[in-house]
Amino acid sequence: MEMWRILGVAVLPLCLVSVYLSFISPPPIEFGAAAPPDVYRILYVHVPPAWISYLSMGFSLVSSIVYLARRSVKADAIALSSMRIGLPLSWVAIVTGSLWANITWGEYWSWDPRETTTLILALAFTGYFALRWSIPDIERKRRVSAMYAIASFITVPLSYYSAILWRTLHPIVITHGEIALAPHTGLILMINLATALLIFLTLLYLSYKVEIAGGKQ
Amino acid sequence: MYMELLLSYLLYWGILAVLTIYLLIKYRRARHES
Repeated sequence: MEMWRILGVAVLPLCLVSVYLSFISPPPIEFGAAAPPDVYRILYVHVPPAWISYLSMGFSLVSSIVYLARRSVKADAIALSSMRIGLPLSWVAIVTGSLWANITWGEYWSWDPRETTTLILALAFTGYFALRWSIPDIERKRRVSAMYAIASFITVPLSYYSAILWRTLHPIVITHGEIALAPHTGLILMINLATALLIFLTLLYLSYKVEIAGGKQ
Repeated sequence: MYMELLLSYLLYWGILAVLTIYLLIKYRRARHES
């Protein structure tokens, strides 16, 4: 049995457990009594896509460096696959954050530093595919895409540290390895993050197999 | 508020499902062609 199939089978029950736990957990006190009681549950579908999009950029950075150093087609396939998963998830993080912001901040979009820098991150993902599709020559496509992926990684620390460096409405949940959440909320968030990580690895492996089997990229 | 909550969950899990189905279709095609 192939690795991605084993991962896929393992991740299915985890998905169900993650969704179930996301809805049964009691509201944490740190979100305040003024906020609607269940709105914080968006946390469980907002933080994982954001973190997985950071991870996608990280995978793409490393594989793009390997591609440029060794001209390895496999490394290019990993970079492309990683970007392919990060692209929709970065937009999911933006939309879920925007829906949450409308309830707690009173508007969908306020050009908050975290919102703005995460939008730049999502645009960087989108630009990768626009660039890749615009170059017909395969060798040049791979080389230019790798250079672009390396340069666009800067959007990850930019997005992550924006909430720490600048004045922002966005709460800082995880800093210096500590989670500023009630223990049960932190635990459920970690389970959701672990599930998202397993889904990412499964899809990455599946996409990699597609690219290697196709050979066109 | 519950509409936003529902939309967020549908979007996240829906995108993951669509991405999985898309990759499975591509994988089947790639295997069939090779």
